[in-house]
Amino acid sequence: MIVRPELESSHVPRTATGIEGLDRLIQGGVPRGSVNLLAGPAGSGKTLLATQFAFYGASRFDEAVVYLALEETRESVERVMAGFGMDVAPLEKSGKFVLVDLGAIRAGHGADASPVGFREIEDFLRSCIASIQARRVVIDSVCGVSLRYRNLWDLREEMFAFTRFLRDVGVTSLILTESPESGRLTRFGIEQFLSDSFIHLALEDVKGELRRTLTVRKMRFTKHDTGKHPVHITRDGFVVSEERVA
Amino acid sequence: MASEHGLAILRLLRGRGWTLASHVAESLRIHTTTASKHLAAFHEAGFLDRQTHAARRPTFAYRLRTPLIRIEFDLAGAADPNQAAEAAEAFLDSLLAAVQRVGGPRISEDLVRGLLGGTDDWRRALRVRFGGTDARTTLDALIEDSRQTCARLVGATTAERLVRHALEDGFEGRRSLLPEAPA
Repeated sequence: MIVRPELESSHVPRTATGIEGLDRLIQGGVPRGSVNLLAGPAGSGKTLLATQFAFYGASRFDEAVVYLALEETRESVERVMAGFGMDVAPLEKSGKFVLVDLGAIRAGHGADASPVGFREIEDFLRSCIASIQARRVVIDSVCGVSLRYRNLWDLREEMFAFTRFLRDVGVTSLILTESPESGRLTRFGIEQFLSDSFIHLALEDVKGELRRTLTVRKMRFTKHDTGKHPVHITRDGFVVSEERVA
Repeated sequence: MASEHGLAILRLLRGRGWTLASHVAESLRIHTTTASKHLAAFHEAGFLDRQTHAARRPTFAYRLRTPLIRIEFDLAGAADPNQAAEAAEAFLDSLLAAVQRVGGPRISEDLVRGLLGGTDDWRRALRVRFGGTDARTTLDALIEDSRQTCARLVGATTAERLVRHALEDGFEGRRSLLPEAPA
């Protein structure tokens, strides 16, 4: 078998998430420049994990970040971050972190109240990424964008073009989506096929109590752990346990 | 127009032919000099035609150049510098708030820097800009600058949404100052 060196997992540069316990499962981080999907039901910790990925990128790894909130408001994201000791204001001031509330224009104004679509986000990101030399992008979440499209085919086409754009500009991106209560893994059932990796968060009922778990279901160019791991939300944020759920 | 007699004089001229300042003064019970000054100013602004009165040189006779509705349009074209500066300030206020809401303080600061040269006191800088040149041209240029600078920072589509909203906000009650109705 011929192995192309650039595709061998050990040769692919990694982008550390900084999330305690997660990088250990994925050879030190997600592949640099990859499109990563994070799915989970409400309350599973998606936004917390995403804000930490963004915040650590800017504060620990010196990578400028664009965090694009489409369903959460700026205040809501800031509140989550402040609750876990992530002081984003100095990073915003220094241009290392741009928290974008695109929902603010969607919540909008008469005829302009139409939802924001992928092309608009791409147009926005193209300017924003160039202006701060961003290396990480978070889209929270793709569900808000879907309102723009009439059918799944259009959504898939546009999302495909959007993920290609993200790879082309070379940022490492994290895209959030919901897992519906029906048991389907992702809201539209297509997101995971358009991404390079797929991290799934779940809430499981264990003796009447909800337990959070994380599973890395897919990650290109990575020999990743495939087990289901308990997740704890501590004072310092999202922590993935080393042991597996039986 | 701002004087207590301006509009009354224009109304008087509506439906009349060539009219002398003395006739205006008599009809409105004002001094002939006052009427004459108003008529000369309106002529200079392009609202009135003027001709030398044949019998009483060098007296002038005036008449409305266009119906009153067109005079209102013309008045809009000649933007008052104070009104234009106020509208521009309200427009920028709204735009900066929206940009800050969407993209945070850094992008908002970049916008001010791009538009007004990096001054902290952007309101003052704006007033200065409206101090000298034609207010209409300054206003149009500011809106176009905002559109382009904003597009550079947040992309053309988002910029268009933000600018359109800021125009609606900033020019509320002053729509005649808009270069054209927003699409």
